[in-house]
Amino acid sequence: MSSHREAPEISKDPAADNADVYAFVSPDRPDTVTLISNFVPLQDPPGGPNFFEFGDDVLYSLYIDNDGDGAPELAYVFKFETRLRNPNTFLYNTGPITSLQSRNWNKRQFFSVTRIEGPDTTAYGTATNGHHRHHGRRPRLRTRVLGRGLSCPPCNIGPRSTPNYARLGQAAVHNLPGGIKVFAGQRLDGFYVDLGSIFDLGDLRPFQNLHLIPSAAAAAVDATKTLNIHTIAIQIPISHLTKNGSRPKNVMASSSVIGVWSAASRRKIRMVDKGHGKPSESGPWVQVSRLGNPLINEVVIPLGQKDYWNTVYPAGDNAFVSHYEHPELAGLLPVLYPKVFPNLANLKKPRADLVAILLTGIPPGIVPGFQNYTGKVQSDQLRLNVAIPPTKSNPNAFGLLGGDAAGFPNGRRVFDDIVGIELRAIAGVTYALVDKSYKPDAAAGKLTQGITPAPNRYQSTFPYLAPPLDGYDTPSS
Amino acid sequence: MSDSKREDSSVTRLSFLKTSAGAAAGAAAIGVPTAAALASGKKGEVTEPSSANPPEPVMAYVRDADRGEVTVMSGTSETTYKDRSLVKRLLDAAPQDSAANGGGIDVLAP
Repeated sequence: MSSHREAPEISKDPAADNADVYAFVSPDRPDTVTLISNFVPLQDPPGGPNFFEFGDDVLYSLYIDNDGDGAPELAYVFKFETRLRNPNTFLYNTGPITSLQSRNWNKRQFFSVTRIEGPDTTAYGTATNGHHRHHGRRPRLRTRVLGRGLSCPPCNIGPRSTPNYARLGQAAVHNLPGGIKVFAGQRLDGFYVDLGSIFDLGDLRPFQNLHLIPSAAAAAVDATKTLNIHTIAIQIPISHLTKNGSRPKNVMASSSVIGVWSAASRRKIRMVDKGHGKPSESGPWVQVSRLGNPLINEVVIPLGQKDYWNTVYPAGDNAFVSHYEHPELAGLLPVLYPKVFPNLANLKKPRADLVAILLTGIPPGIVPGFQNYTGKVQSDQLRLNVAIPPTKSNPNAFGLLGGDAAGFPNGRRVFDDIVGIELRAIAGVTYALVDKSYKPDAAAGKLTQGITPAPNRYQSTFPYLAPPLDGYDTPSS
Repeated sequence: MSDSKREDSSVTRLSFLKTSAGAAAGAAAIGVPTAAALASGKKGEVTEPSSANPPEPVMAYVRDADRGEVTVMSGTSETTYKDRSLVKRLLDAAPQDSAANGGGIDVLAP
């Protein structure tokens, strides 16, 4: 999965499991950027009576690095609080929920959003001995609460409980001062993958006749099309995110690129006491999940380092560079698909293409008219060139590989086929960009999941991910 | 390092936790360098952690500051003491910057 249950420890902690991050220039408000971070993955819609929610004990953060040093100068942090109207019923709702103020809605969740500014906003809430890791002392941070007491929508229960869900979802889009929109709540997962196939020894159903253990080629299965997720989405004027406070127009200017990633943190200590249902907590926030580029901790970082990777800030990602230079999957493809990837099998050099795409951004001169380079510091971030306008007509889900510079790896849009893109890249398509003597295998450029998401998977306006499926009409299979 | 040495290390490198500390409301983890320094009554000095967290640290937290109650956990056991001097030392050592360190944001549900 993109980063759903991708590491041993976080797979046991869904509320903090950062599953997807998106960053793109908003197609309907091109003077803004939309940042989306998803948690609580793989929700089966009927999963009651305690329906899915954010963790009141989790700090959710969206980070922005706007000067290429690998440390974020900005953060938007989200904290949640759950309230019961009536603790003496087992019901999530005691009648139809027709508005966010409905008296029938028993278990509600609210959130605050705070903007943090400073030379390294990962220091927020993480100080030890009065300072923050290698800085010697804690950087001065400026915090501003943008909104508090903001309502999440309920989960989508069914036609009796949530009869007009679209309206509930829309009511939970909050307008904040400064032209900011924010939403936090359940959505239909926009990430699509043939999960059952890909983890069955790297099988791709459309090509499985060529697999080491072959079977007849078949149509792909969209394994996540009926699964919900919890989304934090915020739409922010571009000028709030760039280093100089401008809205850049020059694609080739370094100041046009911002780096984005997301994280979830828990308090260092959690105590459970006999006779008390709720644990108490103390200590600094400790990062337990993070996500920049999709699929990295999933398939690039080896099993023994996945939990560690989740705790490391991107500024420390040079410790993992060997896994980007020699990804395990690049070695597996020629084995799993014999005689299909002979050139990839012979490619032993470090994958400078993947290091550039995933750790530094693509420098000028590689792809004509494009760059999202943030400098030599290697850190796993989504890098978005905000001077590139959104593609409004027929955007290509293969993003830059498909000739659409508004898509991944220039940030990531909700519909980008990041599994297909990264499969092709790892199979060698992008290596030719940095080594003109390399000829990618013919099959590399044809790799695809074979999945086209249904039109109802997304919506054209903020928060862009579609309303969640309800539990009544989407029973477990 | 052998397992036995690691266990010894975890016992001597005490970590303390205070929660629900009455007048010093809020929660924060604090470190005290050695058991010997604690016993002598000398004020501890701030130091950089010299190793990763031990597998099963000895933990203490202030349960009720007004009553001088402190609870110490080791292994699968815990003991609550009435020890006003220990409570005072722990509270004196507790960081006072909780709000500036990310502890002060209220969601404030309506």
